[in-house]
Amino acid sequence: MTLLLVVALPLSSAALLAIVGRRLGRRSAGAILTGGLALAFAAALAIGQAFAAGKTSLVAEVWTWLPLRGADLVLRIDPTTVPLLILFTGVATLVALSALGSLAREDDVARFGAAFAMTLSGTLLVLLAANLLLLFAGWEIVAAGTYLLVAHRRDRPAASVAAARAFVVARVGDAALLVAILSLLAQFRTVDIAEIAQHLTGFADQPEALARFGAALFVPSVLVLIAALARSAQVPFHAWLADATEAPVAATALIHTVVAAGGVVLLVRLAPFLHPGVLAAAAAIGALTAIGGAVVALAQTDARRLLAWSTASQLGLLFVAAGTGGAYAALFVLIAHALAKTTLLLAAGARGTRGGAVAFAVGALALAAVPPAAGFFGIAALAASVPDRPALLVAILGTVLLTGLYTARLLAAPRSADRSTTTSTLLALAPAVALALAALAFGGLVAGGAISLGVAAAHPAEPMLAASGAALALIGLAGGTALRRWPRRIGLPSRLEQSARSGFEIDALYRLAIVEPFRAAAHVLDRGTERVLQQSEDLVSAAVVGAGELASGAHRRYARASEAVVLASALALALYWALR
Amino acid sequence: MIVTAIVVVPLLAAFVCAMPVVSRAARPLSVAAGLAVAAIGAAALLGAPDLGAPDLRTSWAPGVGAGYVVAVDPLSAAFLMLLGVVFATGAAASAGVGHRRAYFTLWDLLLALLAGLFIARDLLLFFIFWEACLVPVGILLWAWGGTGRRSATLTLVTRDLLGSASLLVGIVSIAVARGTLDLDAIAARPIPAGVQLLPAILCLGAFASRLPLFPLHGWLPRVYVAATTPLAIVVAGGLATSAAYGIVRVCLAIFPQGMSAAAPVLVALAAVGVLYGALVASRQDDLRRLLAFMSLAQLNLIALALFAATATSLRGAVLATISHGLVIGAALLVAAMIARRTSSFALSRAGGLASSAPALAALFTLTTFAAIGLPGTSGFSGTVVALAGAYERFPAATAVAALVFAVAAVAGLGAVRRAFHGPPLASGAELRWRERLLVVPLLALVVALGVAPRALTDRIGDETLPSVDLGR
Repeated sequence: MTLLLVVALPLSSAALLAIVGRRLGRRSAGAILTGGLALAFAAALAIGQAFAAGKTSLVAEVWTWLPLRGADLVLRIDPTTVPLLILFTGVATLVALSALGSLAREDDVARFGAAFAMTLSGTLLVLLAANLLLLFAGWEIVAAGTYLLVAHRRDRPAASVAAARAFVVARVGDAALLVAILSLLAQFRTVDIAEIAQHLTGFADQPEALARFGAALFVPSVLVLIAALARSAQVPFHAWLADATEAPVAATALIHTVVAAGGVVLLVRLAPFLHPGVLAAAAAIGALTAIGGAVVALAQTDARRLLAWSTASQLGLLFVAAGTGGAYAALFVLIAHALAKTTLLLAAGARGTRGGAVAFAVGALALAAVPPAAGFFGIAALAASVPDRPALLVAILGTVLLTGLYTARLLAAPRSADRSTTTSTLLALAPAVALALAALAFGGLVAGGAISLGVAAAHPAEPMLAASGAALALIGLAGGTALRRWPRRIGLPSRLEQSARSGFEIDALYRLAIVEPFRAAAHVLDRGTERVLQQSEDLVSAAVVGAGELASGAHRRYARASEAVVLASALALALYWALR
Repeated sequence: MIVTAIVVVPLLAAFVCAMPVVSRAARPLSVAAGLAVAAIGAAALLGAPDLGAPDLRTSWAPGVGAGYVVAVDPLSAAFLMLLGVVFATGAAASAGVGHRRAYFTLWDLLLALLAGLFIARDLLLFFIFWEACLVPVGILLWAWGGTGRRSATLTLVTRDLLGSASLLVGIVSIAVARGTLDLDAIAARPIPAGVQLLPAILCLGAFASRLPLFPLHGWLPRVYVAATTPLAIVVAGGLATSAAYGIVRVCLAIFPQGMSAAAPVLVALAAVGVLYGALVASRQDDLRRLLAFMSLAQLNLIALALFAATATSLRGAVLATISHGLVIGAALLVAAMIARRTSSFALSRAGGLASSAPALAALFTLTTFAAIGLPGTSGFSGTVVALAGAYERFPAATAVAALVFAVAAVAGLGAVRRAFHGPPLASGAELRWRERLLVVPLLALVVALGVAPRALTDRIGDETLPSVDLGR
């Protein structure tokens, strides 16, 4: 029941706001939004309590859904997903609170709230769905909600273009995920995640059966990876996140922490069926995005775009963790990043005040993985989880260094970099401070054993690695501070820096590889094929009409003759019968 | 007798509409006739009276074994519900139409003929209803349509006549081979597998051109553009549905092996059609043409599921057909509301409407989401079940068709963006209650079918659907 409430509360908030929201004032709309989310958070905490008390799984069977085996409305939660459930609902509640303070007066709170709650409930479905199709439904709801959030400012053409772009990228991933699910359904005759996993473990002692499954799972695994990459803004789908900064700040915060983490959640949840080669590829792509994203972030001149690229880079680290099977490290880094990034985004609007400035600084240090912030422990766990992959280790540590560099630049950023006008400083500030505190304390609490992440660390902690991570972060910060002035160039050759600023020309690449061919194909089909078809259509009708006219014309002209022929034949026939 | 009422009620309505005295009441009467058909369909689906067995068997052409045989099974009932809802909505949307008596007489006549098509259990009877539909549609399009109505009517009618001719040849060949046209009698004595292919293709000719299957869709965009909005709704929700029904009831039921042999080619055509429709839709400026191509994509997806003919895919196809009727109907209505405010269907003339008509924006966004298959709408459940079923037999073609998720999103959201976002080029009044009342019931059904599709699909038993799984 509690499990059902966690998803149902935000969903009903969204529905309520969408249907009657425009009749409500700002206050009541805000109350419906935050009330629904806060109650969901409370329910999540209750679930967390139950798991801390020794529960190992919780199932809510709601109703039947699609006429396919296993595709019912069933939610299931296990110890790994509990921390994420608490994190997502908690962060969303705080962000929604701050949104009420930071949304401009003329903004439509109800419309924003509906999209916000919808996005959250979609994410929760991805996290809790017991079967692949319900997961897919959540996945799609997140995409649609993100679209609505980014397109929120209707008077800004750029917002609507960015929204459509984010949605189309998401849809490419969706199509891939759907085909993967269809293929799994065709192989296992069910979409129930636990059932499929059970099926596979049933063959654990038969190597050749496993190998056969492994081969058959390769294509769906690749498709799942594509979906995860698209959602988490990894190479080569990394551009949408930076464009999505057109959204209001609160929406950006939700997109960076909750939405973009979806790809990692997907990989972690489906890890039992994924082909090992594909997981290795996920780790490699993650490492590439981590380094590349950090370089691009370093080259940015706009604070919000910097943060967007930083998110892509940090999510790359998560892919490294998910790809190497380090669920503990993945969870840790995910939570640490979510707390730090939300703090930064929310505090950025309130930097004029002292509390805001402090919260912002704490968020920045947490992002840079300076001890004792959570990021530090996360990086330490991550570095310890790849003991036999030196290349990945180098990428992780390199990312830490680069993160330090761009964080220092971020701290030096001019305060007017933020566009939003706040209406209530207290509402906007309090959540940021709360998140900053969480970002500071969380790592220590987990490392000290006060909070359990539900999974044990696969590898023992390595003090040497942890210390070198912290040292690199500090070196990065110091180096970045030396670069100092904003928005001074970072010292790369100018062509390269220009290129880095735009995400290594990914836009041009998209245009060449996808957008232009798509447009051209659509154009050719519309102007070419469609016209030919229309003309042939006209020819057919003309031919039918012409044939009719010909027949009637022939009838008119040769009516006598044809009658004579018929008469003559009839006579001949009669004669034949008579004479026979 | 109650089955025959499904045809008689709208016929009576048509008769009354033709009377000069009731000219004012013609529209409410037509709405009521549509609702009555929907109600009988719902009652049959819920199993209130047992309408499954043919209740009236009269033989009127013993020479070819043709007779008046009608029955309602869950499949017919589901489509009758859609038909009734679509016609009621269309009639309600026909306010202020000229020559009201003639219009609503033809309208109810069309409803009666389509309803008859869904209950006919005799091939000749089916063919008569099939063919006769063309008369009211043709007249409604020719006389009440907008720009380009002449060429649209001509294309629609000639293409349909050619298809019907091929269907007639197919039916005659069955009559010659079996001496009966009663569908149950034919099913009891199946046609040998080896000779099924040719008649299957002949019959399919009619259905494929009316559905329309790619590349026989030339008439579709013209008709959507030329027809009045109510007629376009009926073409999407009634005519296309009748073609999908025909494929199930005639082609798959009588020629399972023939259809199975032709399936690879047909499925490939349908998969191409899905992507083609979505791609071309993304280039359209006229909102009706855009919807026509979106509709083409959905209809070809339905065709793909029908040709794959697994138990799951057929069920998905039924769901998707109903979803298509409702969603495209709602989208056409909303498009007309946009056009009323910008006095044009061109997207380039709209723009920024959201600031003056936020409820209209919300409605159009929701409709678009349903059209591109957002979870919680029937677009999602229909598409996913259809694809899941088709994937069992034709994984490659289905995977290609699944790309429609991405491509249709480009077209649909492009329309939302161009009509509603950006600087206000046009401004228009906010939605009126009457306008909301037209669309909201359709969208409520769309959401209901998205959340609880099994309320419908569980009632359509495996024995009703002629799937390839039955033979195994």
